[in-house]
Amino acid sequence: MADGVHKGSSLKRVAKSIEWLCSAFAVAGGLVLCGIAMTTVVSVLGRKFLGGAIAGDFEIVEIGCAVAVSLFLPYCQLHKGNVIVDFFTLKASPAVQRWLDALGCVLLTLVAMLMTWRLGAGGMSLYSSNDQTMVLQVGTWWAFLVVVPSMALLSAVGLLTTIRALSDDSATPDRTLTREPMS
Amino acid sequence: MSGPVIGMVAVAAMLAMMALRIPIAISMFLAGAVGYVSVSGWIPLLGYLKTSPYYQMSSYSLSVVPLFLLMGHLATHSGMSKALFNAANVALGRFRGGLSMASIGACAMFGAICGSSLATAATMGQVALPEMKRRKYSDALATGTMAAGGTLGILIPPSVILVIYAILTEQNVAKMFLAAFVPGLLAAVGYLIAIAIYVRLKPGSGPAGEPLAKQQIREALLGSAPAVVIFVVVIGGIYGGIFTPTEAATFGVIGVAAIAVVNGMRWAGLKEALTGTAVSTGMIYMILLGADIFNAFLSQTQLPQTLAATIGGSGLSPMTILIMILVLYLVLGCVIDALSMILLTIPIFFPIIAALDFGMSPEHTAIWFGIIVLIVVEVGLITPPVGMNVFVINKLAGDVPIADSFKGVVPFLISDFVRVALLLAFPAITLFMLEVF
Repeated sequence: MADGVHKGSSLKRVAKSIEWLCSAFAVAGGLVLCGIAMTTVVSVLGRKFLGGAIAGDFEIVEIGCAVAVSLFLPYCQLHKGNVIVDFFTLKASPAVQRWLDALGCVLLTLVAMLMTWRLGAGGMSLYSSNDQTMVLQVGTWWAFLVVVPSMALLSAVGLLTTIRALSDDSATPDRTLTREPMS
Repeated sequence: MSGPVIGMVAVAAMLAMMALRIPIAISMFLAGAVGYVSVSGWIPLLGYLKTSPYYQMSSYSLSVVPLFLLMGHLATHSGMSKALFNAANVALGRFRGGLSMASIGACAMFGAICGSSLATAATMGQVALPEMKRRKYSDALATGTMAAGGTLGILIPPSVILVIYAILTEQNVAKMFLAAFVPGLLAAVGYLIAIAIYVRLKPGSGPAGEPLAKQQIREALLGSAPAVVIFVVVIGGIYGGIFTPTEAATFGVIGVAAIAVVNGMRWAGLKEALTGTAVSTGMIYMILLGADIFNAFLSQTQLPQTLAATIGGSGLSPMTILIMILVLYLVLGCVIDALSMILLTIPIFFPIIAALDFGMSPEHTAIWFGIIVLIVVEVGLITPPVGMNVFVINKLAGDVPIADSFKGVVPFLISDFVRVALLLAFPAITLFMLEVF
């Protein structure tokens, strides 16, 4: 009994830390995007008025974008941002919906683990082949130091959301406002 | 099994997974990955996944997407919506149905800063709905206006879906934006006409606004100036070829952030904008990653080419085929969200369209088709059963029955269909801007 309570609370602690990490990753990713924006604005103004852009500004955008996007992925899954089609299961019982959602989360976890593994291997081989960007001559593998941990966190979030889908607490945050992608 | 058959089995499996609430991105990824293995084997797939997801995330042409999203999320925290509504009210408020018209005008302007349709509807709705309630506008008209007004966000550049369409079909993003401009204006004007007719058919549903004092007019116009400047810099810069869409978006981000800070955005607001960007960017890139695998597999199966050849040789007229495809989009758009639909279907449908002769250059065909598809998929945002825009606005309004809101959308839907018919009949409406610039 006591063991069960203890287990429950340590699971909660793990969940809390995962949530905190997701938020931290998301905010960090957003700040990286802001950084890209500032660098590019300075570079364009320099090109127009001072006769010189920041060297490798395109590469900064590319690396920064990959880093920011991967930092966003765990937070997006935690907040049920990944779009589903609910039209065909609207009439299904809540229990069936929960099981299907759990299945979706499990599959997402597997995909995230596969990506962690493959991108990890990809980063290693880019490191050993000394792959560099054209202008800045920065090793491409540096970006993988963020991308791979983000994918690992996404796998962990996938597990967490699976458990949450199965457990009865319907603390499902409203996602109507966050669901639509398009601009 | 031959390639095209494997392709069709994979498409069916993917649709089945989607129907069972598996995230769209994951359905595409799994169907694509399993298909890839069955066509080429394990080793090529594992090799493909080593770097391809990274190159997708670091693509320069896609980098405009998170930046536009960030700009839109900052705009919702910038206090600009109120200023834009006031400015539109100065111009349109005195007419019957004037507050509705002002809302459409404000949505069009806000849509020029924020590409998201839901965000446009929700942000402008917070400002406009209370005003319309105060002036005793009918619930149907008020909520219908805001739900439809939001769809202007997709059509009026900058538009994330247009960027993705352009990348999928290898078109120039700047030209896509240029072509979308007149149809976007036409959409706004069409909605104004719809309101004018509606308030005449249903007198009392939308009384004219109060006359404004000179002081209010000046304040309203000054208040909207920063938004106009940002739009001119971002979109004008792209049109004029002064900078790439990504560079333009970075100016937009900095400009909107500056306005937001001046209007009182602090760390909490910034954090909300950043995490909001995280959700909408994460969602789009997950789908992009899934679609990347799926489309890599699909092109190996030769399914798109086979389909294009079969349909091209069917003897149907190009216009009939085009309309059949648009009807399919309309139906699909009622259940699947627009971006997933574009990513899923364009690799299959675009080769079909490209193989048909509409009497214009391949580039013009691609751009024209893209703009019309965009309008058709956006209609799904305001039709039952999914109609996300309608649900969001209905919730904002509080005590309005959902059926009333869907009824209020009908005039705007009619306007949408008229516009699609016009654009189909007169491709020049879409294409003449390309000649001008």
